[in-house]
Amino acid sequence: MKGGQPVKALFIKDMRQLWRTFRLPALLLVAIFFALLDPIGARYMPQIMEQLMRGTEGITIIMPEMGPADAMASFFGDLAQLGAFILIVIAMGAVAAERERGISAWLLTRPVGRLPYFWSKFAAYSAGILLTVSAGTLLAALYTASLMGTPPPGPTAWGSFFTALYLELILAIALAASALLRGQVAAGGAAFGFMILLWLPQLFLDQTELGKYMPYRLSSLVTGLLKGSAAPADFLPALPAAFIIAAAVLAAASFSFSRAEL
Amino acid sequence: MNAIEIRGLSKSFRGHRALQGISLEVPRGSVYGFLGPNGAGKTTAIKILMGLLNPSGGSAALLGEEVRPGLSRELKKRIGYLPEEPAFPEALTGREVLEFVGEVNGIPLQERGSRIDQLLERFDLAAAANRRVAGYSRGMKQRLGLACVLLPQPEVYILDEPVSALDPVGRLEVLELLASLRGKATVFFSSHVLADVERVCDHVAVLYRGRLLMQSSLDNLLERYRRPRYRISFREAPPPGLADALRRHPWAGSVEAYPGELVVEAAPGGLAQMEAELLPLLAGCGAVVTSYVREQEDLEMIFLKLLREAGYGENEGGPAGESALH
Repeated sequence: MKGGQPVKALFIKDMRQLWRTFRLPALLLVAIFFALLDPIGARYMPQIMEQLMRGTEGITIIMPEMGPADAMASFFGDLAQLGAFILIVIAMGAVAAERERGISAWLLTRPVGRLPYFWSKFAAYSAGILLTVSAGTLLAALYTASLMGTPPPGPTAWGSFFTALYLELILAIALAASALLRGQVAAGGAAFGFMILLWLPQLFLDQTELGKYMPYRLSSLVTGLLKGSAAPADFLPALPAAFIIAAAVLAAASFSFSRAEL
Repeated sequence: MNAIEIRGLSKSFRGHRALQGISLEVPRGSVYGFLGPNGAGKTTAIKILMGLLNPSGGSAALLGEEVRPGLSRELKKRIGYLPEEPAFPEALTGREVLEFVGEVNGIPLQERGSRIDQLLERFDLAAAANRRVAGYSRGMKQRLGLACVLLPQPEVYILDEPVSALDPVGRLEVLELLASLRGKATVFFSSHVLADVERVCDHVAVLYRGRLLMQSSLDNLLERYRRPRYRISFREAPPPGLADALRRHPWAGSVEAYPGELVVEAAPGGLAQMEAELLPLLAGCGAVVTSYVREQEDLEMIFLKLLREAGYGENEGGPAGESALH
């Protein structure tokens, strides 16, 4: 048998599971929701605020002029925040729940290695993220174009790329927690805690030299990228730390899972 | 070469010693029954064999290959394992589960489809083949699990309670199937139902509280432990003192007294003398005997006897027996 066959079979199985258990559709729905909501919000927010403030005296709110770049920045911001949360919820049981139910024990007594089992899940969820971010970006860009004008293509593409990278980092953390911990709730809690730890440095280090190297910048710089105050090269310092964290947690999970009792 | 060899295997869970140095050998081509009451350690031993649990001590080998956590892919292709409660990826249909098993075992595509169809028919799953396994009953999952085990036609079948969720007809069919594998493959299965084991196995091992009480061919076991005995029924209660009087005879291995009955088992080599003396003795004591029947112990009785000898029932909080066995 060719070496690739179990991996292909595992990947197809995992993609089917992602789709049929509504995990991937849930992620897609979140992206579609924001792809439709954020351009409308950007387009009509000044009018909405004006309507809300009508009749109130002595209060003046000046809304900045919103453009297509704002709509896309808003979309990527929402996707990185709520998308990351949903991603943790759907990935926290990827290994832990299968372990609890005895599914991993059944699968791993077939001619399937533990590492291919774990990495095929990472590949399937990664494919789900790429699909979600790509489809969401395309829809948001088309809708924004129809409402307000074409968003800047280069920054939009880079924004999509870095948002996907950020979500891949969150996925690595969630899957590692799922493989390292026995219960899916514990895995979800640990992944959520880790995500908060990733964001904490923003409070203290954002304006410092060290802040440039923090992984949260993969998401927080996207707004600047779309508004022209940041360039794709500004993301580069954050990449090594993000890569090292993802590689470290995945390696720890692989090592632990390959020796774990099931 | 033996298909399975276990040497001094032990396993502890937080101070509880689930296995205490068991050793056994399963000859190739045999149908081997692995017996024991609940909590005896059967599933633990099987999980260690399948690389799902790490032993605390000792070792095991499957088809000559040492068992380690996560068996090699090549070895897993030669082993078919059915867990006690098989759990499948629930979003897949029954057919997809079998296709997955076929693919990871490297069964050629042109052969796979027809074999899957045959197995679905054989296990009465054809109508449910395109339904997700999440909706399957326990019996259907067990049948699907058996189909998955049979699909790659492995050399060794390791089955943990393979017929526990099946109806009587399904149970009989599967037992016949297992018996038909004798000589072609090795079947190692655990069971509570001793009649099933007696029906199909040629070798048995009895596990109790993590210790191996015995392992033997079934014929040897029956020859060694099966003692002819007579069940004597009386119109009223047996005369007082009769049981004690019988026990004093060297040909009486044991005498058990029940309401209105005595069961007299022959001591080794004492059967002829017992048959010559027992009936005249009963006639002479004045009791009215309503039946006098020779019985042969079956595997279940031998199993219970072995367990009682090992202290079964003493700390279980109830009479030795039946509740934990079925």
